[in-house]
Amino acid sequence: MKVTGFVKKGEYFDSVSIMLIAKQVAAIKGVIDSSMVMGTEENKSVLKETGLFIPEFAEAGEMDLIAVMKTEDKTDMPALLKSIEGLLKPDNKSKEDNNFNPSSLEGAVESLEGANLAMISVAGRYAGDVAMKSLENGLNVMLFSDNVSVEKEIELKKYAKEKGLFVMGPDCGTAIINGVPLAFANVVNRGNIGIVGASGTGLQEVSCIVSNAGCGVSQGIGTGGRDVKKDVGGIMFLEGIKALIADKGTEVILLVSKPPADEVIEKIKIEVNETDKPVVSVFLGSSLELLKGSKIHACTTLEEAALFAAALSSKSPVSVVEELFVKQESVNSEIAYREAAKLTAGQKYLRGLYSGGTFCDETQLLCKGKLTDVHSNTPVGEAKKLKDKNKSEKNTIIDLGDDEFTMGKPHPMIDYTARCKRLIAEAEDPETAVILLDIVLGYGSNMDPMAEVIPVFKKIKEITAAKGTHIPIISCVTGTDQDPQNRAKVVNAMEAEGVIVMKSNAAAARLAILIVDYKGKYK
Amino acid sequence: MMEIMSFGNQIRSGEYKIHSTFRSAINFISGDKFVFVVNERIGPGPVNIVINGIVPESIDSLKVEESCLKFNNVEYGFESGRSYNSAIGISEYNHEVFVRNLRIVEETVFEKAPAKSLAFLVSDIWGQFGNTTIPLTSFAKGEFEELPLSPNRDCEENIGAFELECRRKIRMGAAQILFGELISGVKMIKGLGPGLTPSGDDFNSGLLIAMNVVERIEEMTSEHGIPAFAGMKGESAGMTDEILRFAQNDKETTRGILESVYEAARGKNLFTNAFLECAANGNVFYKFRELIRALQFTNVKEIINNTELVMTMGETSGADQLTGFLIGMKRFLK
Repeated sequence: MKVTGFVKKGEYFDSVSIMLIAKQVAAIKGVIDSSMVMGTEENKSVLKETGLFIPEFAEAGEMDLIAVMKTEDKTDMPALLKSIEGLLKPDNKSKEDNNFNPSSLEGAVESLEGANLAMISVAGRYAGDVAMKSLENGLNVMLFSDNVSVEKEIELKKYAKEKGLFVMGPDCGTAIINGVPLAFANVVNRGNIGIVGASGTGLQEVSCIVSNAGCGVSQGIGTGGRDVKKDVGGIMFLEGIKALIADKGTEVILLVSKPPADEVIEKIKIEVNETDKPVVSVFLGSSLELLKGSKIHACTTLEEAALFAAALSSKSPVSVVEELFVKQESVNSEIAYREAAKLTAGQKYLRGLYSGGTFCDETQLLCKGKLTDVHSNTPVGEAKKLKDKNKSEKNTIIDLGDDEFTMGKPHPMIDYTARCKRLIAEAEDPETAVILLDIVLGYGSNMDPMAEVIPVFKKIKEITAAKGTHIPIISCVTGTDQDPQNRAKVVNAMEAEGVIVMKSNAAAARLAILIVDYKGKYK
Repeated sequence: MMEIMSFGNQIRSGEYKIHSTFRSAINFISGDKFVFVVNERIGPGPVNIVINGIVPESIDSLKVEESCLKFNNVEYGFESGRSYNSAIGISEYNHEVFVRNLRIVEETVFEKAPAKSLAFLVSDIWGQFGNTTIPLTSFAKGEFEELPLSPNRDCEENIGAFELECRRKIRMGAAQILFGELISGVKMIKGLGPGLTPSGDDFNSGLLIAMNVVERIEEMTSEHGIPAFAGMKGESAGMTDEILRFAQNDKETTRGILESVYEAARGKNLFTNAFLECAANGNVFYKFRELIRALQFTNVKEIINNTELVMTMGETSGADQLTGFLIGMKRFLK
């Protein structure tokens, strides 16, 4: 093993950049150990004690950055040092620094002629005022920030409605406007299905299923989850419907949400009566009874809604979708029987590890009537609250993107660290019968998710092989082949590791539930 | 038009030149005095100038005068309402409420701090506030290394030799601070660890903030005749004199010890020194000031939110500072 490194003088990197670069260095092939630290006497002393000191470091001052690597003997040192120097280049430190950085909203509007939408991602307490300023400047708003008070949200939305503008959010993570994916969104076909979504992951899932079915999206309008609750009263959800009714490019309207307030559902029913365009909805967890007597085709899963919209979009009979589900059920049954047969007596429970909150809800709802003792950190339906979010109990479905997991950390769609650890933990639990997860692709998400999860799938195989057991891993991959990560490539990589990849979360959840169900019944 | 949202009350007049530029900040220096021009995400601080929107690269000079400041020779007036008062303030003190709130901070840090931070030092095993589970005197010198790390810190397997050794030293330093050898512990911790301001330095600045908070409480309670340190003498067997003196309502001695800690913590890293100076003088960033304010009242949600906000400072700086603060409070507030 060799130790090498260098001292960077007169250049300063904030701690976030240092940590980020250090992580990249640690991942370079051949690097066994590495550190990037300021050249304080104390740090130099520790480097000496740990065998990571080379004479060049003696000259480093307390404001200088020391980069040190312990490598395998055969490592090409000049190439390694060159690549690390590359990581430390100011251009790499902050690529956006080369772009024009307007210092005010007015400046930003002036610098981009024709801009009509402001994407706002600032601390919650400032976000409302920035949004209002944007509306006053004639801009539609996508408010990515959360922690905006409900009073402010109502004020913004009422003002926007008066001015004929949109406020998507607060806490709106996904939109597709005129074919442009905004924030966490996918590259989908353009087409004639207009979506209004009060659920970010929900909007991603339906838009991808629509696109993968060969159809396309005219607009994907996000509203933020709170819009459809009683306080806000669906102001923007209803405006979204109106916009899609008026939009010549939209022929089918698809509505996606967690349960709206009953009074909002009533308003939606009235609103859609104004159009001849077919309307499909999925209000996860809402009673279908509430939509009886309306022209809305109500569905219970995101997949079902997306496929119905796709069938309507391509003028196919909706019976095609029903046939598809019958076929899927038969295939699922075969896979489930085969997988259940491989489980040992102690393997009894489903473990769902989600990065998408809507998927976590959808799976819990699908458990109803099939599995008992379902627990979650974000329980819906009949599920019970987990006593400790870090410890699974019987059947457990977790939203790792919930605030309690993500504070101070990147979202699990970006950083897989927490989920990878939990996957291993579940694999080590002798009661785990099935592992279920989601992989969400698209802009905003991790650009190379397979680099994160494939080693974990391999590790799980090692764990189960050592115990002489088998744990089926079932996943959905939300995305398209046009996404920067390329869905087909991701699916192939996962299947090569024995993961069963389904076309939607609902399909993956149904299969996972069926395996646990069969295991209970037939063994 | 660039707008000044806030300017810190510790900013000194002078002509500043650019020291360094980060994504969300331009750092200006004059002698050993810093001024940080930052965006709203970073927020107000003792020597921060907060501007709206993105910090423009085009700023290359800063002159601070009595009544205005000039960026690139363009004058911006001080509006009094936008001055940020960074001083730690204690207006209410109820010992039980304060201690309960510190436990909430401790739990929040334990749960949510970044894995690479020093939050592994935060543990019930080292004794809760007001409810020490292990007698302090039972730890003889040399046994510090045997002190258990808090469980549930999830990065142990991923850290390299350097960080492991830093952690060992910092753990020993923290133990020394807790069990009596204050200055020696501070010196052991200083300058150690990753980060532009090494983690150990952030820890020490948190310790200084804790000492200031205790000092303010002491001032406040002695004015009102409330014995904030009741029982301190009786419980203090095994502590060194310096901590005893700190706890004995002797204002001059208290300040003197605080100054000694500050001197021991200083190094040659200019950033570190700037932050330590602010902490020693009881001047803190907005996020920390709001946490200290919340500690005096009973709104649990606000305490958790503010703790989490402090942890958004830097990669691990906020969490490291909070760890030092908690260990300082654990040591000095009885």
